[in-house]
Amino acid sequence: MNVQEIISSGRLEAYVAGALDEAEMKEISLAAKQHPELAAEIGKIEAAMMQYYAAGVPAMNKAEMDENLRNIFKAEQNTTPVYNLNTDVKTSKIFSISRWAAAAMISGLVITTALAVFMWDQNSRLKKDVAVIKQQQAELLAHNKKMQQDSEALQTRFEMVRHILSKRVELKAVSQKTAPDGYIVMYWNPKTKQVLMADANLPELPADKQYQLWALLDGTQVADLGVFDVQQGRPASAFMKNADNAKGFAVTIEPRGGSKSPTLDNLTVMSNL
Amino acid sequence: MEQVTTIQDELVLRLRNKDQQAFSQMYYQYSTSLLGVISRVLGNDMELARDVLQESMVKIWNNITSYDSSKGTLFTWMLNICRNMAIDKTRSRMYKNQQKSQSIDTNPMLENYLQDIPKPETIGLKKMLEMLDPSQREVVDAVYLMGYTHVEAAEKLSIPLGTVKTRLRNAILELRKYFN
Repeated sequence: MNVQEIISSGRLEAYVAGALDEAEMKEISLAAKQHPELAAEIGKIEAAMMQYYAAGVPAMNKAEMDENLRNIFKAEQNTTPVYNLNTDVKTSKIFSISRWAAAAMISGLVITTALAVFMWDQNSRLKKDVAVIKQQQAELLAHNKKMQQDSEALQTRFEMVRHILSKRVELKAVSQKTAPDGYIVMYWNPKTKQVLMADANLPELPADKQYQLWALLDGTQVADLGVFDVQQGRPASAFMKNADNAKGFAVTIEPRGGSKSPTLDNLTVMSNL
Repeated sequence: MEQVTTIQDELVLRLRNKDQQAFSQMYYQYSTSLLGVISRVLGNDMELARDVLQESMVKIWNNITSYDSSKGTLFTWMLNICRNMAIDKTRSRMYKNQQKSQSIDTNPMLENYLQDIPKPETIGLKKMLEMLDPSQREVVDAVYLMGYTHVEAAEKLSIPLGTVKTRLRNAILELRKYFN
């Protein structure tokens, strides 16, 4: 069969499609290698069919094709080449899928772990912050409570001091021995009977001693108004026991806890009403 | 007679040596056409066609050393791989569909590639389909998309063998005129 006959037979069109039996495919391939005009004809058919089928789909852009190529080469790197047309692709497909799955799982794991560490870190930081804030809040509350108490105490003292019936009483030193420069300023309200220590200038006592305030009543009668300490020259107590019908006040040094009756040798300061 | 060494032969030689650059060059040249073939076999399902093309290309690359130029051109070899892969897909899809609906009367293969319903995203498709009249197109598709021999095509399409040969040749001559 000569070249022209082959060309006009319509077999080349089937040859390009691969739609001839094996013997015919070989025959034409061989002929094409020997006859350039046959090869050219095949090339033209091929070109037309390629353009024909390409026309039916949107052309792939370069980036898309390069991405596909990368994946093709990647898929191959991960498989041992098996030159068996029936199984090869399936093998590589499974391999590539499991690889993708593995990659996804590993990256998922990494992300989750990183996230967990991050969250844990955040959480412990927040816990510390919360602890600090709680501590600060407790301190503020305590401070606030103290301020309120102080304020109330001051208010009570002020109310007592400014009361029209309150008397300002000064107790002065009576003994060179105990406290030559000693004095006490106190307020006494005969109506409400309240006694408030306002100021004092007395030496601090040993730990086993305390000052004791007495109300001087009619005659030689005295009434215990309580004990107090002096710290940094000031009385540590403010309000003492209530005093009724006092004619005067006196302070003695007594054993800690106070005595039933004043130790006159230890008389420190005394007032005149 | 001395054999002619062509650019094609050189490309094939490089491909047989698993030259990635040569494969890329080949891919740029042929992939859109092969995608077109696959897409037509799959009833213009572009998304599936892209997947099948990729699968086919992996297979082509993995088996490139087994390409034998004495059995056909490189294009023909690749066309066969792509076509078979696509037909396998329609079979598995047909099988699934068949389980759902019991319609097994029609020939699924023929029905698929003769389905000429252009989707809006494939603007070129309508133009492509208009290049040939339906009687020419069914012969071209039977041979190129299904790989039917002249005899098989004549049987499937119920037309005389001579008519198949003539129509195929005339159709492709028309396409050559159109494109060249």
